[in-house]
Amino acid sequence: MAAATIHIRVKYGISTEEAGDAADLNLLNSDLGSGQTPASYPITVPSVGTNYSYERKFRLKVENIGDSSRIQNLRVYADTATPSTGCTIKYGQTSSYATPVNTESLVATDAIPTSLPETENLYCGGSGGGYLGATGEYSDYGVLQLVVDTTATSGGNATITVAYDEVA
Amino acid sequence: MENNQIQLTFPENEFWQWIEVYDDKVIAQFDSIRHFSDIDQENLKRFIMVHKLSNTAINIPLTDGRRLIHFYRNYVKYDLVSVEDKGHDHFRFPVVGYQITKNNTNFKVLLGLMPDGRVEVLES
Repeated sequence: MAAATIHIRVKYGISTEEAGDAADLNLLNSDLGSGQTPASYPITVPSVGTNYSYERKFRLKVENIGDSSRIQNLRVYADTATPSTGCTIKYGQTSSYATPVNTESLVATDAIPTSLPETENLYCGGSGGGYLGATGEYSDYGVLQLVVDTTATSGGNATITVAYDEVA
Repeated sequence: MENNQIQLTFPENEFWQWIEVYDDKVIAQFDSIRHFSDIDQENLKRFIMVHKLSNTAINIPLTDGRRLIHFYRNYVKYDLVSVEDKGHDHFRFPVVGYQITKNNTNFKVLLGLMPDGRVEVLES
C-alpha cells in the first residue's frame, strides 16, 4: 500500500508557512523558518529574570493521503523537558495561528511530556477525537518554546517526537 | 493457516500484512488495496498478521466480543540541537490488537510489529 505522506510544516512571521517538510524544530532567538544554524541564533543566559526563544509553531499537513483513510491520534513529546540545567522546553497547542513571540508563551505553557502521552495532545479541528482524512488537510498548531533562566548552562540536546497513527 | 495455502505478495517497504479469515474466504491485505473499513468484522473469524521474512504470524481470533484494531504508528523524531542541524528520522510500523468491553470498561491490547519481526506490547 502507498503510505500517506505527512509533512511537518513550520510557520513563522505574520503568516509564512514553509513549502516543504520541516528541516528541524530548533528553538532560536529570531523568528525564522527551519534550516538555520542554531549557533547563530542562541538564547542567551539572563543575569536576572528569564529569557525565551521565539515560539516554534508547526502543524501536520497531509501531503498525500495515499492508500490510507485517516491520520489521527497526534502526540508530541520529548526525551527530556530539561535539555540542560536551567533550560525547559514548554509545549502547547492551538487551533489559530498568531505571530510567534519571544516573551512568555500563552500557548506553550506546560513542560513538554517526556514519554508518549496516553491521549492526543495535538488536535485536528480544534478538539480531541478529530482526524485528517484527505490530501491537503492540516492539524492544529503545536507550539514549542525554550525557557532559559539565570542558572542555565549551554550545550544541551533534546529529541522531539511527533507521533501519529495512520489507518489503512 | 489452517488448510488454506495462499501466496503473499509484499509491496516494497512493507514487512507485515494482514490476512482476513472468514468461513468462506481468505483475503490478503495486498492482493488488492484493502482498507481497514473493508474488513467485515461481523463475519471475520480470525485476523492474522504475517511477517515477510520470518515465520512469525500473529493470530487473533475474533471471539468473545473482541473488536479489531489495526493502524500504522509513525514516529517522526527531530533533534533539537544548539550547534548543527541533524535533520529528522521517520519510523513506521503496523500495530494490531483488539478492544473488549467488560463490566462497562474498555480493555485494549496493542502489539507493535517491528520490521525485523519483533513484537512489542504497546501501552497506548
